[in-house]
Amino acid sequence: MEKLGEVYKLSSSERSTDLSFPRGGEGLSVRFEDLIKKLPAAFYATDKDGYIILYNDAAVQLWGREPEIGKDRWCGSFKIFQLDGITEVPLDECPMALTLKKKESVRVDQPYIVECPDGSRKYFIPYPDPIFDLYGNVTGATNMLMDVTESRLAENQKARLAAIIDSSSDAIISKTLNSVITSWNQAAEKMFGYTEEEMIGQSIFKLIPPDRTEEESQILEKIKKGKLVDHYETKRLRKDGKLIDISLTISPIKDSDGNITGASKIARDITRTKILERHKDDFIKMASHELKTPVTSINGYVQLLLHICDEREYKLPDAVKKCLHTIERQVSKLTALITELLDASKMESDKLELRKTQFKLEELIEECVAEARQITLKHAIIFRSDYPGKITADKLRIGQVITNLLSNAIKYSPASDKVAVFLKKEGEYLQIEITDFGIGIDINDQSKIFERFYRVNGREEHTYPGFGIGLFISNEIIRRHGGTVEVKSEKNKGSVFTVTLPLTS
Amino acid sequence: MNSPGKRILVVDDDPDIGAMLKMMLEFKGYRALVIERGEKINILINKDPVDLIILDMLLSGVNGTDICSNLKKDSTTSNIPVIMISAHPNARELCEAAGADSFIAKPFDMHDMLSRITELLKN
Repeated sequence: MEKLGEVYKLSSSERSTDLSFPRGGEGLSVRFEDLIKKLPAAFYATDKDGYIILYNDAAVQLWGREPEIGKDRWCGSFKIFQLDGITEVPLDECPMALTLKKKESVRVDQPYIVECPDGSRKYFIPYPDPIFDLYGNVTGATNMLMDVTESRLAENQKARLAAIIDSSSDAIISKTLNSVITSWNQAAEKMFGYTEEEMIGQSIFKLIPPDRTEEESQILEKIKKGKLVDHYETKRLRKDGKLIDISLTISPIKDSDGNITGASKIARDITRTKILERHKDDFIKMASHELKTPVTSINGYVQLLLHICDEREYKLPDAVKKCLHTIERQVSKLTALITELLDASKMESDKLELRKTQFKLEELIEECVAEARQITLKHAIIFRSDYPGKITADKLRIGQVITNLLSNAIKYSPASDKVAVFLKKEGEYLQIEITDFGIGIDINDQSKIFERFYRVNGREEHTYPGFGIGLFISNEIIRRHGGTVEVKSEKNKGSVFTVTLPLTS
Repeated sequence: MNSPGKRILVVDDDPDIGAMLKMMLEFKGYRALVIERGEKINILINKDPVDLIILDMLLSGVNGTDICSNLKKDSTTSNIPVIMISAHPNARELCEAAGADSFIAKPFDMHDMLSRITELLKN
């Protein structure tokens, strides 16, 4: 109550600026203290020598400590720093101290930082004012401390984000649902050649080549549904009229109520990547051509030699014959590898074209099975068909898939003597099941075997040759027909590969 | 021996492949002539008619596809069956567009080559 009395005395001064309350009795002063206590802003008062005589809960919260009455002077803070966070401000030079010394209100234009005893820091702006008595003498001072930590952090965060956006090498653009550009970063300037001033408020169509204008409406349709457009590869126009290859990732922008109000767009210049891809494709094409030419000679001469000997009934020593057959077999493997490499490159650059015709799938499987029988002496390949009808697909490519799966079935079941092939119709789909009783595939590898260059890591598996692209190619071919390749397998029991193809893809 | 005496012209700029085809064809009883370039093919054919042509697609000088489409445009040579061969990845489409009667990718299987020849000579 003593403290309260002091305050009332101070506030009853006619010349007091901040605490000028009408004169009244004790009841009024109680209400006044309540008011101070409940004030959401930090508030404290000192006597004329700067000793704290009053403070509220918000002040305790800001300081992170409770000041000691009669001991704490100028301010209840543990430590105060300037905005740089490094320069400490001695408490007797704090704005409140200056107010009492200069006998005038002090206003600052930058927040201060208070460090609490636990080490945490907060930003605040002080509003200290002196209190005068009837004769104009300073009898004390009040100080309101506005905690601006949240807005300060938000500003910092905003500045950080702005810095990230500006330092990004990807163009970051935002637009409304009417395709009007609302923001444009530095990378966008560099990528497209237009400045921010030239583009804000303009239509995004300025960047879209005339033959691609329909892309924008397709993209907006997705955005309006709240969907993301991810790594969409396309071309855009620069200011100088040059076309550039870009990869776009576009996501919806929502307001605080969750309504979609626009889109943010990240564009990456992939012109260089595209050029490198083309170089790689050209290289693989050239290499495969150059490799195939000598292979043609080797293969031809070996076949010719074997053929001449067979026809003329020259008695070649068995060892020589064996050597020639081995060369023939290895050359055909080499040919298959070169072809696979080229196919994989075509798949990647999306240049694999399907040439669809109508044909009987069971006849094609029969041919592939007959071929596969040539490469194994051990395995009986059993084929059963429940579907004699036709399918529309690329015959050559489907044949390639069946051959790949059959040769895998034989290759990975050296200890077994059987491979089963089953063709059946399931609704609008045809299913080819190829079952072997070989080494099987570990559950952890089953999802990965369709990845490019994936090879199962195991002592046993490493004895089998290959690039690890056969299944990647098969899967891609079937995928492009609108079908799937699935595997069920158990280690040391065998595997079942199921190809599902739509009747008309 | 099948089709004894039938004349087959081989155009391939790889001498080893040319020689290999010649040996193979002669072994099978055909008469084979190998040239490495195709510029003078018409003069050659007019002087000494051939029954079938095996034509590589990528040649030095005039390309195999150009040679083929010229042969197919000329009424005096359009009936001669042409088998085009190549190791080029997009060769099949290009050769079919040039009017080739058949296409075989390099490296080819000898038995496949021989059966295509027999088939085309039958018609």
